[in-house]
Amino acid sequence: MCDQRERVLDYLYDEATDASRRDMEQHLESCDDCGDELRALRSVRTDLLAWGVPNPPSVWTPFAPVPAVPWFRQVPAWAMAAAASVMFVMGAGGGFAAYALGARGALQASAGTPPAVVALAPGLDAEAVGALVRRELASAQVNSEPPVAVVPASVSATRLDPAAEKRLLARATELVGASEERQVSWVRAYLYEVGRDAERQRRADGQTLTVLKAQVDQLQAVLSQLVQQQMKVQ
Amino acid sequence: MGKCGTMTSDEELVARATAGDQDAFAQLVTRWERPIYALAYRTLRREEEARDVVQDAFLRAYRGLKEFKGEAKFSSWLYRITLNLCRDWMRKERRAPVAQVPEGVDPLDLADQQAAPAESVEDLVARREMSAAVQLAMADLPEEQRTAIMLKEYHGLTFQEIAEMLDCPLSTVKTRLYQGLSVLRRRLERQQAEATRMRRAIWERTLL
Repeated sequence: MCDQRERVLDYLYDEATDASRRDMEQHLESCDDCGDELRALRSVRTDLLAWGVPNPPSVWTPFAPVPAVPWFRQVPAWAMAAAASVMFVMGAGGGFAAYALGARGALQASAGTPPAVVALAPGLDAEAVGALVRRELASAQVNSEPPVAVVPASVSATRLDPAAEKRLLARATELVGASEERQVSWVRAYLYEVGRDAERQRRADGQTLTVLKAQVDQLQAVLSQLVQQQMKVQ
Repeated sequence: MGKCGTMTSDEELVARATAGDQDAFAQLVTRWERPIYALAYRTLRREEEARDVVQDAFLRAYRGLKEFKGEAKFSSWLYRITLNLCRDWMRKERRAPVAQVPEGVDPLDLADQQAAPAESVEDLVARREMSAAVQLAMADLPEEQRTAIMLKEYHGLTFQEIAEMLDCPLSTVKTRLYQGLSVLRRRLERQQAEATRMRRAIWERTLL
């Protein structure tokens, strides 16, 4: 085994002196080991060229670095989560309102105070939800308060006895919590499935493309042969 | 960097920048930001972080101009700053760089690149596969071998320049380079064999 690493490297990268280069060329004529080595190294060098670098418009901004991230990417994850949970709370609020309406409807039948029912929906609609959104955004980072505690602001305007109200509230909180958990895990599973399917499809498409291209090429070759034969016949 | 007759040398620009000429420094930036970005990107394999490193490297160079004695080439000095920043980043993250290796081939990208007609789909697929293979193989190399290969292959530095930049003997540079290339060669051959086998399997499954 001929081992002339340094000289092979010098020769490979064209850093050999003239004399040493001539020596190496002469040596290569008789030494298969070094010839193989050189060919293998050259092939690795060619392979290395395949690794390109992305080409961003400008890499350096003189003395005033501007974030290269779009604004919506700069919104921190907790804020995104907060926005999502606000959307959820709005939905849950609607559900809770329906629940409360039903419950109160039953209570009102005995208490006989219909106007409160009418007052509830608009109250929840504009002010309560607005306050909810502001509050949720403000406390999003901590997110310690259960969202449902905010909703009953409008509910408390009705004539429930405190104990019943407490029970109702506890039950509603429980329901909303359970439903949130279910929804979150469902959404997670769903997203996972969608992502997985998309990835599969993407790979399959890539493979199909490659195969199709090869088949088209084959067909074209056959076609041009046929055309040539046809022309010869004519 | 080609030696055009009209082009001001790095040394001259450095002298002018040291004297307070910001335009001269801007010219140095324009001249070197691409290579510096390439070095940082290939070392960290993350675009955002590589961009940050470029910012930091030029900022440091600017602040350090007065200490730069001109013993080495400006570019070597800049490369060294960049490599140090990359190392800091990796140490801070306490992990090896994460390869953002493309998996398979994205048909959308394929469609995009159809605009450049010189390359056939097969070539493109092959090149992207090779690029991914190279990134994977490079990621597994010891840092010093990888650095030697990068400076030599992607930046065209001489053995002497690399030795000076890394403060090690010439023979050490060559050994690292040789060992790195040998490992790459074995890994790439293995990966190529694997890829060929998979392609054949897919082909057969599609035809039969």
